[in-house]
Amino acid sequence: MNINELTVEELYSKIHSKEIKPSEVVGALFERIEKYDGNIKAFITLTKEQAEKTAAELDRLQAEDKMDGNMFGVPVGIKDNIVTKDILTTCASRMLHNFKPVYDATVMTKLKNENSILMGKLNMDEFAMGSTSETSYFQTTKNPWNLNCSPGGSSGGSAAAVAAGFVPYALGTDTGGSVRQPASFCGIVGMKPTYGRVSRFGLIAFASSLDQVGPMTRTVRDNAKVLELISGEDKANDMTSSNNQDTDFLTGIDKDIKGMKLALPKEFLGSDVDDEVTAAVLKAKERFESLGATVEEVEMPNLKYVVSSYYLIASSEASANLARFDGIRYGYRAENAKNLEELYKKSRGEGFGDEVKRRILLGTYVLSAGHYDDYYVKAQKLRRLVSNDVQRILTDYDLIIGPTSTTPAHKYDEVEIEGTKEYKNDILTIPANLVGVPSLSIPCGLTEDNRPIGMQLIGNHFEERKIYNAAYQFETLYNLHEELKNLTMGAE
Amino acid sequence: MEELDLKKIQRVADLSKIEIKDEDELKNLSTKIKSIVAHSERLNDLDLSDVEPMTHAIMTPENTLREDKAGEPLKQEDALKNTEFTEGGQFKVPRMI
Repeated sequence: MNINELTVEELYSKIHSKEIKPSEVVGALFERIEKYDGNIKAFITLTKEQAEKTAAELDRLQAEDKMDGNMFGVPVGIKDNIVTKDILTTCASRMLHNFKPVYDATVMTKLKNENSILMGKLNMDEFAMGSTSETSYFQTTKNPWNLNCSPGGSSGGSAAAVAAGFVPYALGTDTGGSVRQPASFCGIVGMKPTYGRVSRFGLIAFASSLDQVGPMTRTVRDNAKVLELISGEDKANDMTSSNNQDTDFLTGIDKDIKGMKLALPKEFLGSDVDDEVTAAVLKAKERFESLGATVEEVEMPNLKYVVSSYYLIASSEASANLARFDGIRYGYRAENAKNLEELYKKSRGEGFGDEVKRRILLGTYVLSAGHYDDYYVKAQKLRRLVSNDVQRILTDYDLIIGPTSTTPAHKYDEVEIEGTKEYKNDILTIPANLVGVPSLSIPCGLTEDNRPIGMQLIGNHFEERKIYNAAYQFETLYNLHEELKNLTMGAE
Repeated sequence: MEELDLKKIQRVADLSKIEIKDEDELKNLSTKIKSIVAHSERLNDLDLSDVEPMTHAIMTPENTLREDKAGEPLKQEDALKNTEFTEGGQFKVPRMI
């Protein structure tokens, strides 16, 4: 038995039946991390000492048959923009290179209460701004399937860690596709839940009206289980955490999907989409039909405008949210500032990377006098139109399906830095964030040279249960579990 | 819409309290900003006059207020933990005036 190949559910049940001890699990995974993470570079911080201490304590409870918690002994990796008490939380930025939070994010508290064991903090694009994990101040994460390829981003470290078998599950965050696109690139399952499903308390804010924390796992069932555990109303995030009670995603996940109506927007298979991606999604369509679902082509006419709308809104919100980094109370502080104004400017100028600065400047410009109506208000109006598009489709259909990303994982030298092409890769994931609906990315194929291709399933607000049901059924026909076990990651 | 030149981007950087090292950095940052702004001009193709702006994905029907009860505030000691520049239980900054 290779511990690193086990799913969340398998680990939980083997620990529960005392077949393995939590310390054996933690030991085996750190061994694997030490062997391969030098190549992959998924982790910014490892919490080995603390994890071993927790595991020893759980070993004792296991021996005494006091195994409380739905994640008893199951290790987890957390994206480095989710605060963890007394553990370095950097947002992959020089700005927070030395920041140790004084409290835990609500999602972290919930997982600790379930007796999950934190293995470390995962790499990402700086402040979650990017889709390749290259804007990290510390390191560039590699795709476990092909070390010359990007794992995607911004939750690239989380996706790579799960695909590499370093952890059975991880948390990522998704503002414009940052859970789903890396899940797609790394051949795993990633959920962007309904806006408000999961508390954002302790998530270092990027764009508050779009951000959601989501689970990244190797199977659909694992994903549903993790989301069940992190969902729920939070008094600390009163205004925007929902009290929706339908958080049982596993009951009935295996029921058949005969008669389920799926919509495939024709714009989702437009000219920007790679041929192999289109072929994989059309194959997925056939698989859904073989399961008894119907798939019909629909229109989402405003899709071509979503990238503009998203960048204007997200950058505006970011420029306000990132104003808190002043070099005074925490984080990077520039030396030799003669006065307060200079301290702010130097600390921010030296502490933020280029992509973060760009978005702050864009957001500040968009919100400045004379431009607000031209850009920000128009972007919000477009957001309404996209919402109307999605709602219209979901009145007649159960779910929307389509590719997660226009491409499979790209080689590092293929990313176009100039212009907006790189941004356009987010076009298919952005609608779910603008509208606030849940969207799950699952593997649906491989390219000829063995790079994973992901498909997303988008449902209406709070209909994660329906998404998991369809995804689970699809997974019975196609999954990458076996392939994930055989990744060599540049060693052996 | 008006031309977004380097001077304007420098002005925005000042408003954002971000020091730009030199003209090279300014040019580097401005290339992408300009292309996103240019890309956004396509929103002008649409007649949006009757569309209500959408500020939030899910609107709660009414304002949520918590009970007016004192909670547990952050301890002074914790609040000061993340910087070495403190004095007398307060944050220390360079002179302001």
